[in-house]
Amino acid sequence: MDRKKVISRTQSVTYRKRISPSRIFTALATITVYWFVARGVEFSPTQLVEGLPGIFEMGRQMFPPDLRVLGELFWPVIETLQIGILSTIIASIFAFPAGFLAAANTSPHQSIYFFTRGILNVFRGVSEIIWGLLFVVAVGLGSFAGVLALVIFSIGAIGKLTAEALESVDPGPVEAIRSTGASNWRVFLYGVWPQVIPLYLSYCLYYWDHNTRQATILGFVGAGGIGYTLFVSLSMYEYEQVTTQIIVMVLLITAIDRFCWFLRRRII
Amino acid sequence: MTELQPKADSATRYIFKTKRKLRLNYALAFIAIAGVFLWASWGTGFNIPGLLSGTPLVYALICRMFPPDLEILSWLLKPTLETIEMALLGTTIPIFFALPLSFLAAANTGPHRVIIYSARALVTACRTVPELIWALLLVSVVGLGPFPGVLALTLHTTGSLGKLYYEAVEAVDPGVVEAIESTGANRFKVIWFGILPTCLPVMMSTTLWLWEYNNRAATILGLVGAGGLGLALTHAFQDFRYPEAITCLIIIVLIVTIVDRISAYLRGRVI
Repeated sequence: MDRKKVISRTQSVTYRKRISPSRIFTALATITVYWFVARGVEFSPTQLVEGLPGIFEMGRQMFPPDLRVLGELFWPVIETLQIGILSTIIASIFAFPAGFLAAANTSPHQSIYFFTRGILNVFRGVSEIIWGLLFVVAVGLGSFAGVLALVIFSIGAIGKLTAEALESVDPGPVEAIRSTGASNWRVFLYGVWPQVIPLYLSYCLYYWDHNTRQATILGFVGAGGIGYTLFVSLSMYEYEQVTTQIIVMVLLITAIDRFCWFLRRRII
Repeated sequence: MTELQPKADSATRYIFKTKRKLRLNYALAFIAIAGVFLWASWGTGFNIPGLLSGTPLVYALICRMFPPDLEILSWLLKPTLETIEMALLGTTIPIFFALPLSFLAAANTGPHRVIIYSARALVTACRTVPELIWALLLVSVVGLGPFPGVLALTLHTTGSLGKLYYEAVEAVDPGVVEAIESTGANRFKVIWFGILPTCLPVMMSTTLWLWEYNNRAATILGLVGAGGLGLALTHAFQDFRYPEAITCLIIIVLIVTIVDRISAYLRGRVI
């Protein structure tokens, strides 16, 4: 076969591969879905373009940042940090046993496994803010409600990740320890625990970062922290104060992010 | 035997020493955590009696929520669809922004140091502002409804995806890049044929992860008037219609669970 023919044949093959009926169908289906979705959310570039002067106007009002509120922000920032720390510590105490019960290989019974798994899914499925809304109704305004909200969510999240870590434990060391005639408790302590603990600690650190981030906005539903001051300033159209508050928030989040990164590198 | 004795002794001593040191480290870490815990619980007013007195209140709230009000299901269809749609668009649109940004921000593909740093600064700025605050700002600019919600998710997700993408690009084996460069390919071709295929699975997996995240985030954007189930939920709470609130919560848990399953299935197919 001469060279040209080979080339044309391979080209036609790749050509046929690229445009096949099933691919055209997938592309059309995708476009249709996105068309309906865009209509569903009232997606309109014109609205955005019409809003552009508004964006510039707001940007103008936001500058220069009002630095006088910095002093008032001190205690909300401390409170935000405290909410993040407290909720992570409490959640990490409960998350490990929960993960232990929700892992297929360590759970004592099938029914306990499904039950714990379901509870963890519900804890994790509802956002922190909505838990905050619930707890504000139940225990009243303030950072206590925020702590409870973050504790519930983080138990769900860390518990699920821990369960997955437990399920993917290397069976080799576990069997080796079991073969020495060790009790179940010893097998867990010397075979499973050392494998899981670095992962578990890194999840806890990750959720400390996450919880501090969420604590900054929990104030929107009245659950304490810096979010509340931001919400007040926004509803009074004090955009210069809003800028300062957002800057402080971003600095806080970045600082925690860096600190967690540093700690994680030390641990793992 | 007698010659070996001192050696063994020093080894045991060494082990005991490190063990003691380790124990000391654990003790110090424990004291530090306990101290921080006490400080934080003092600041937030957290205490065991408060927790115990709160339990009946939570229980009472749960009692008032049941049975769920299923009559509003037909009315909740639109907000539910809006939530899913916001999450879908809020994850798809950012891909088109985050992908170019990540190639500008990655150390191994960025054209110039200034561009690398400014792209990274842009990504970080988008990511560190929570989506609820983006939504709050955008609602006051483009008005109420799901559209500002999509924009808010787009901004925040562009930041998150951008960061995860450029980390994936930077983790690409330099051998791949060199192999393609040695054929005389330009920068664009190196990216298209070398880097993109290598980190595509990681990118897809992170995109799926953000899709899950955005479905959860889309349920709360309604709190600030940006559409979705959050709005219905807030109204139900404000008017003390708890049976309606629990219906909203059940739908939210269902959406999140189903999306988690779909995402896990797709991730299994991709990787």
